Amino acid sequence: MNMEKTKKRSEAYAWKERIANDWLLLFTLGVAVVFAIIQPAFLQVTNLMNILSNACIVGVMGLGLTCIFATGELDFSAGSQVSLASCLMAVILSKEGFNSYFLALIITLGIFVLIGLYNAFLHVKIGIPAFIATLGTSYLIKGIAKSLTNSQNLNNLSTWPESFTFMGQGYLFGMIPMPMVVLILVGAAVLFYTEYTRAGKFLYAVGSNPKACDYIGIDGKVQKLKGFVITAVLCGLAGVMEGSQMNASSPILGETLFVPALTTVFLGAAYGKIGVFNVPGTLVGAVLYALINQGLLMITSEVWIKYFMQGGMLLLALVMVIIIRKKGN
Amino acid sequence: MSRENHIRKNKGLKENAPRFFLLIAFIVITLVFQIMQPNFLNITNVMNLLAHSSIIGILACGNMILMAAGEMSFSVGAQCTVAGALFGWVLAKESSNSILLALVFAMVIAAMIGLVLAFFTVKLKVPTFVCTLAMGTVLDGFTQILTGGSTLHSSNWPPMLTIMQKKIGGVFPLPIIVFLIIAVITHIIYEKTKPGRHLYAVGSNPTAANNVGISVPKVKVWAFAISGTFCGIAGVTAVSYNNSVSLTLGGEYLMPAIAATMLSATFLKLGKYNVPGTVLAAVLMIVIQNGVVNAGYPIYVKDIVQGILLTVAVAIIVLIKEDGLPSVKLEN
Repeated sequence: MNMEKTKKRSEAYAWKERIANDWLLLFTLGVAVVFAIIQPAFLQVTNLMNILSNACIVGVMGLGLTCIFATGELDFSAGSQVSLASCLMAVILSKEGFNSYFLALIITLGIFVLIGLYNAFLHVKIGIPAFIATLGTSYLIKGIAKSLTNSQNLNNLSTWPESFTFMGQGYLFGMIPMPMVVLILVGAAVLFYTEYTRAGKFLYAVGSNPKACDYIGIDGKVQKLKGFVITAVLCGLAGVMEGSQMNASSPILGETLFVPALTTVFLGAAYGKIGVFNVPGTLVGAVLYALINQGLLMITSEVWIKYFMQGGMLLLALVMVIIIRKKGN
Repeated sequence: MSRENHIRKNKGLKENAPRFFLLIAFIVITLVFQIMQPNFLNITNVMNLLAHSSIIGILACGNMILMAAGEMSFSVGAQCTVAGALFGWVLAKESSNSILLALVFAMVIAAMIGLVLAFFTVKLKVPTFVCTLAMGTVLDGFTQILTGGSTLHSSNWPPMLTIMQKKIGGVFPLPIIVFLIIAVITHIIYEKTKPGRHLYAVGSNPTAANNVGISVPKVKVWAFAISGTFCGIAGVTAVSYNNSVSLTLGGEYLMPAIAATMLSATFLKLGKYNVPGTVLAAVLMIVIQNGVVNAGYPIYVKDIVQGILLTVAVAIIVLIKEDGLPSVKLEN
């Protein structure tokens, strides 16, 4: 009798824990249901696909930021990096006689490895706090992006190959949106790296206790360097996708994505591995963000609601994370 | 005596060169612009420059107080805009045309925004950097509501509103005077009084400050409130100077203001944010911007120059000084 009671109690406890762990997922589903009730068109397949493709760009960016946040640093230049990537692709492909999309992608990502190394150099080698170092970089990158396109937006240039829009608008096998394929591939890779490999776990180790890492021989500097490079490359990829989705490139468009990307990362810290920035959380956060964004757009077109929603969600996520951590302690 | 002098001299070169880096950069950049365009330094342009830099300067002074207390705000731009928008919005109402009342109203709200930020960061211990970024976005939403989504200008505005366009003695635009007064007061309070030293103590070593009996949260709350008020002053000054409320009023000034504060820590007192450095850096930011535009260069040159300047200046302090800047941490 007694044992049964304990068992029941522990079962109830397990349920509670499940809900506490998965509340973000449940909340996301709840939001979807609410929108579906208010606006039945919300549940159309095209709309849902649209939402997911929107989530993809912010999601890829968020995945990058997750890696650098895991090491306890941050990259403020992420927004301008996204802009630069879209401009780089546009400019490289607008050159006469150059129309290999794949090669342009490789060149762009190569340049982004260098940007990551530059950030890492400033922070790790010289010792500027990451925050200020990347602030300086963000100016620099913004300037370069503007200089590439002469401060203008480039739209649908005739020299761009057909494949330019494939990354953002195309469908793999005619049915799966390409951004989603990219997100799933990148997500799986980053998840595998951060959760199932030694090298990836070091990222978290350095973030949570740099001193202990020093004692057991993990070089924090190398981990941070890795973090910066991964972030830069993924932001570059996000920028390529963004440019491809809009069929345009703009030197300022990436900065509007910075707050959403931060939101997804912080929302993510409230899911899965609670209190830690993690990959599944970031993905759920990205979907939730896109869901609310798109849902509100369907209901109303007031600009201020967008601002309230963006800022409010980030604040909410932050407070959630803090409360969860306090309870954990 | 002579020996002491000797030691001082030896130390001098190595210590002094970086201390005056900002001033040297300032002079070099100004001279370059002057050579490129001979009337860069004529009195009209200089006064124009100074008037523009006053608004950044006031923002940067408020930001400096906050950063001296070891906090960091990304919402100063949005706070500035929303205060300006409130000021314009109140005066645009039919029944209200008391400029003083509108001013007080805008200031009180601006200070309260600071207190809200303090509640989130000091009480709930949310990382300041992200929290202010979020708050900035929310405040931008409020600005959208107040201005109706476009640049606000009303025929109801009393003529007194454009008082900041007046020039004292026909030469000095009024914003410069406001800026000077604020800078001097901030300097005196920060360097010479007890609250100012508490501020610095809290920013540079909160544990030690706590141990000697300074209430760290209290100092931070005050820092947030004062910085909020300064943002309000900057916003109202900008509205009065421009005679309109633009949506990007403060957003444009956010990065220069933060950069100016950071750069101030490279001037005179390495690693300590200070008012003279802030003033110099605020003017420098506008000199770069104005010079680049006047010389006919595309505006992106400004971004690149400012970015390099920020990185180099901070790198210098970090390389020279072991303990470096009061670094801004992501996690509390």
